[in-house]
Amino acid sequence: MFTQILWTQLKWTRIPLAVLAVVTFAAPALAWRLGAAGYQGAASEPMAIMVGFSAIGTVLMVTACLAGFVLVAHVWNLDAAAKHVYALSLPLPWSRFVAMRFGAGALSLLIPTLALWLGSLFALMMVQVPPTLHTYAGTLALRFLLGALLAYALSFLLQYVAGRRASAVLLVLLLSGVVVTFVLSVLGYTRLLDTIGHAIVEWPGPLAVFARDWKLVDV
Amino acid sequence: MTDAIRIRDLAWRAGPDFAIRALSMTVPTGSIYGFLGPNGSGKTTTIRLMLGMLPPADGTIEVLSHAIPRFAHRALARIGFVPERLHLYQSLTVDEAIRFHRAFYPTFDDAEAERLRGRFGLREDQVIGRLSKGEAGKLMMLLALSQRAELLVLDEPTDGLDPVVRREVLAALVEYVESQRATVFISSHLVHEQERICDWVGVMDGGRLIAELPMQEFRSGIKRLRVAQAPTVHDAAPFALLSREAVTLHDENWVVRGWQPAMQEWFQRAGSEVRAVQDLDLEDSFVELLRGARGTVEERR
Repeated sequence: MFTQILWTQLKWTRIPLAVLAVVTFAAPALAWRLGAAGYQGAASEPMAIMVGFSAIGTVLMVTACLAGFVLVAHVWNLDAAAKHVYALSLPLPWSRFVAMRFGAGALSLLIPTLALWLGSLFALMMVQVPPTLHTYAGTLALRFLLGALLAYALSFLLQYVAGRRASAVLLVLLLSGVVVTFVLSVLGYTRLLDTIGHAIVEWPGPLAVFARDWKLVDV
Repeated sequence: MTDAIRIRDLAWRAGPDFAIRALSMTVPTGSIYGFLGPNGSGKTTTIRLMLGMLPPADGTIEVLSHAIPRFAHRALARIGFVPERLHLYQSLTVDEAIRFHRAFYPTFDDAEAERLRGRFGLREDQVIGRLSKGEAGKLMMLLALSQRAELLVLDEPTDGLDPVVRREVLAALVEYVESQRATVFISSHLVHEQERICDWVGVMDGGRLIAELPMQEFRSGIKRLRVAQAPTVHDAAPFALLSREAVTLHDENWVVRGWQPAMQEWFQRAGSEVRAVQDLDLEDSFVELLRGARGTVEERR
């Protein structure tokens, strides 16, 4: 069963997955090319290398979020096109079907992750990393996978719980966040806001994976 | 013999305009049960409740001895389902849809699927989204029949199909029932089609099951009587009066259910006379049954 669900997942999302794989594979080399272009140092200088790869973190964070969202939305729409009648008529509990759909999507995130790891190794071959610096191709790929999985899980939860109202629910959540932040700021509860913010983005907060710099090269 | 489907006091509501009310139904194992009713009468909703796709507000449902919706997945493993509209993933090809479907049913018969694919003239590489309505109907039937299911639940399986395709689909169905001794629950508003294949009939209208009886009884039990000097009161009548209308000053046409020739005595005692007894065909019987039921509802209001 899972093999077939995974197969349909890969078939339906093959184009977004291919685009994501190309982006994540090319991102490290492009970051280096564009980032180091304005820097006057050599490709072996620690500062040149650090600056050259500095843009990759933001690109990968955005890509990870997009990956999670796109994979969920695409598959949901195909299931929803027939009002989920086929999925509901299959001889397995709905929760198990949804779990398999989630698993298949999560597994497919390995493709852009693998592409990122290979792309990072390829980009690092373009520079001579001095002994004072360390490379983190594997760690960056893992961080990307965790970020994408988190975005995927949140999108999945929202879509499969709220269904067709997912966009409206998301909008309400975002607006509520803005209103609460505004009200607390006006009332002078800035310390409370800081505490909430830290609890969300600092380890072990739910968005901690996005908090730190995503670096391919560091001291 | 146990019942394939057993529903008691089922209730479900969708807003103020539509509800399934106190629905009780029994589908005997091995029968071909025709589920008749006009569009919007609640047939598809009843089927969805029966398969666990909707949660009932009240009542009990048992399908193949499994309580629904709690154990719907166990029942669904033994049910072949053809819905009203194409429900398959439209981007898959015919071959991919068969492979996907097969993975969920241990009893799936590959050889049968291949035989039916050839018989229905479906190509392996045809994309489902580009199939004609007839081809899509045949593919859904192919999947349901290849499961080797004990119970087939078919929701308007031939609606909108041309006569040739309809005949092909029904022939495959009848063949399957004969070879597998399966129970079939087939919903339709095409009365004559049901007449040809069904041995039980349930009639649905306005969210209520207004009749459930063997096809033979349905076919022969509803008559139109020409009554002279018709009595005004019919409460104690030994038959069910579905409708009555004046034809002349003294004569009325009565449509009755459960008519027996001996019942003429009841009219004689009331000072009336039955001048003619006319057999109704199935479609007329169906229409009169609906009129009778709607009249009863109006009277209650």
